[in-house]
Amino acid sequence: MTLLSAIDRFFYPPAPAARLGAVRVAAGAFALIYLLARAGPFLSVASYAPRLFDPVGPVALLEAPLPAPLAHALFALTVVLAVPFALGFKYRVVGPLFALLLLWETSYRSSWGMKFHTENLLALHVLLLGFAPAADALSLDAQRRTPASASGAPAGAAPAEPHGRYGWALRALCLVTIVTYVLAGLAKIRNSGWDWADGEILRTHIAYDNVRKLELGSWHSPLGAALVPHAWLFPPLAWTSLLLELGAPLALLGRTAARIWALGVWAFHVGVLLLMAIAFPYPLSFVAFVPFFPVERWLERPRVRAVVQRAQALLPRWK
Amino acid sequence: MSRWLAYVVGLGTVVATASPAFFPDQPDSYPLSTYPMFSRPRDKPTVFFVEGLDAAGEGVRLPSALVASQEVMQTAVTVRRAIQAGEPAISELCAEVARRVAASREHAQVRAVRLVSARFDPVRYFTVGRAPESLTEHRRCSVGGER
Repeated sequence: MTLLSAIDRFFYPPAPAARLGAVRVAAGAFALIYLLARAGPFLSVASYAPRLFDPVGPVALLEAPLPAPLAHALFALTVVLAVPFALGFKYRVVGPLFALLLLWETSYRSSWGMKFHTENLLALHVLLLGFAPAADALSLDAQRRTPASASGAPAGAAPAEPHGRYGWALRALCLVTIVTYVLAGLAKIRNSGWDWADGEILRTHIAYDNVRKLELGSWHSPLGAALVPHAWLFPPLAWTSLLLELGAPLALLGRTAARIWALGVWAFHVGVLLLMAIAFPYPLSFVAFVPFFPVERWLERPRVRAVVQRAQALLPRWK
Repeated sequence: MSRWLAYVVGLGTVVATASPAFFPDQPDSYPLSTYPMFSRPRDKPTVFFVEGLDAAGEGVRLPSALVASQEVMQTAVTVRRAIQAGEPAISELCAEVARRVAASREHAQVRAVRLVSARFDPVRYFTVGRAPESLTEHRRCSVGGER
């Protein structure tokens, strides 16, 4: 086996269309709910003083903030397009368009001095999904192509054979997730050395974050404030954080490793929420980790399948 | 999608996501980031905020939206950047907050606002007491014109 074929087997593995479709549904639904829930903060940036404008990402193309009506219209369009994205409707157009708009909107929100690291992974995942054939199953597009058959196969049944054209996107989604956690671990070692593992830096961060929130009149974590005096708690927490971040590539070893890692990182985010009152909604929802799992098998369970079919029946049909 | 395009999009996104690791001296950005949060030693950080003052000179906590934004952390960054930028940014922010407070019926008791930076020992804050180690008032603006 040559190196190139080994790379190809790793990066272009066969995977079922339904798995990628399920990831699209989950990420699209999450994005829609997130955008609606955070509509206020997303819209409010349009009224910030222009002197605060500090563009990042694609927004760096702008020399000045957008006029407020245009900024609001782009946000509204993003919210509207989240629906056909999640449903897999006209996906060849909607997929890339929504992905780029979500990237724009989250970048625009981070272009006023505060970078919302809680949104990076969602934007990157949707970007990959938007340019992948993620609507070949579990979508209105698939439903149109493959109506319900006399043999009982439901409308929109997935292409039977797993294929690399679905596998690459799932692999890339997993790799991007892993890379973001490894980078966070590397940043700690680079900026503080292995001293980070002794827990004092983490303890100070938890204390600082709660001080800042208390002084700024925001929600803080009573649990984090209560634990700060107990210094012995923080070395194991620091080691666990570093192991989960730097050890993220181990999730590629297999399904069990992925399951253990994903649950570990999810618990890590629950810990961050409890100790610092900082929510990373995308990982906390577990949607960020769905690409690591064969979710299509879960969808094949009779009860889940019945729910999916009932949901499909409620959706508009298009020809 | 063809295989080569899959590689371009998929591996390209992965490599781009990893790329900040190779340029650690570049400022953090979005969506490509080094994820520097919580990575540096904090020691005794300075908190920048705006507070109201009542007729007796007692501090009144102002909601984030009155200062700059609904987002508390965004507001904190706005205040820090204004203070670090110096004049005229300090005076502009102070005057803006004073105008918003003057229009807020819930804050009728506020007579002045001030931009403040305070240095805390964060661990000591929770183990000994909440008093800052030092506090600097950068600008005070009257709210009372309309009251």
